[in-house]
Amino acid sequence: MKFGVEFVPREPFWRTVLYTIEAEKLGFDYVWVTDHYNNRNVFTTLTVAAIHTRSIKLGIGVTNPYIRHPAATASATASLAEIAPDRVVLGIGAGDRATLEGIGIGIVKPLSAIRESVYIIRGLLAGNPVSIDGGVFKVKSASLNFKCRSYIPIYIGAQGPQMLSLAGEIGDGVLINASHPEDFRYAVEYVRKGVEKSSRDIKSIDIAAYTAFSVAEDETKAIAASKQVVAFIVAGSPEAVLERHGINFESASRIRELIVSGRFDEAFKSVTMDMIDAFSVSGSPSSVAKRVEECLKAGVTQFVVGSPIGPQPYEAMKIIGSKIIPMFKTG
Amino acid sequence: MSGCRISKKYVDEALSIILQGKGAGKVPSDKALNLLRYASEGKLSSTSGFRSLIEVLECMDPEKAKDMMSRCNLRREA
Repeated sequence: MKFGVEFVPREPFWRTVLYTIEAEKLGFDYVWVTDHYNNRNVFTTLTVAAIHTRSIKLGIGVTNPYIRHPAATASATASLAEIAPDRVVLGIGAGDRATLEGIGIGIVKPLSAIRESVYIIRGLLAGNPVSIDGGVFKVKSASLNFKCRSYIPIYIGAQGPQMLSLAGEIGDGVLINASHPEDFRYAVEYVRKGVEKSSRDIKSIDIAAYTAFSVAEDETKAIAASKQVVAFIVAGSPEAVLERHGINFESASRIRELIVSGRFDEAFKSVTMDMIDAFSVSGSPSSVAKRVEECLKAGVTQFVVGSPIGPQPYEAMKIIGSKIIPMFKTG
Repeated sequence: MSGCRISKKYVDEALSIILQGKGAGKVPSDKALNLLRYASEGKLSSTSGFRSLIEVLECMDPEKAKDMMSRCNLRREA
């Protein structure tokens, strides 16, 4: 099992980079930095991280084809790989609807957009002239003026059945925003369907669990720290997902209403233990280790600890580095 | 003094405050980049590396920086 950590570059660049340096020392294999226009830029942040680290893989996690044209993504990714050869991985997904709509960008034909983007990016990174007359992108004999000497694996951010299947068909990896083994079992089946279409082996796909994670020696504090993140996940979850986890629709809808009306404290207080269990990996080191094990059995090959990481993120990372990662790196 | 090593306990305490505390936005980039250099070289326990931590901490929380310096017997550089 590989381990990754996700950072949202809301803070000054140096703090995300300092966290990345510490993550490398603690044994994490991957750092994933999110890409939203309203945060620090993912490529700038990862450039500084590339300069100050040696082995950790640097993941763009994830960009989307709407805010940045895939040709521009290819150029930025190849430039980053020039600084950190063989360490760059590119995550691409359909994007966050609310954030994109806020700046007037609609998510149009997401499946075609991702399929075409991967085609364009792969072609450009391989040094080939790329042409495509697609449903979303029209490209005529495009090429980069420099050579990308590393292979850059492309991970697809996916949740729905069709995108999961597409990830299995064309991705080097898939990033699944979920935290419960049941969700991964469900997702892996669809990834497998895509893999079958491409005549590849599912073992060639890195199945990454992008989890809402919180660990602390004090389980109560770990759980309390994840309530905020879980409230937002519950509020944004479709009924099918709530149903899969036996979450009461009325409670979920109440949390959604509270968030929409800005009554955040009440929303966070309304989060139940069932919701915490369904939408996060939260608890003491031994309880989260058990959940990591269950995810591994469900087919996950990379476990990414995402926000909030813990009530105190750095302390939580030290726990993960000293107690969790070693359990899955030996024997 | 330049050859001295600072106890891991103090380095960890300073790192913990710097990574989790408030005021990260007040740190000028030259001080931040200096800290990143020492951190990436694994030299935060050296006197100069630890000073880079303290310099960042001073921008975020001057009282805590002063307290740590006195506990580690470090003097402010002229």
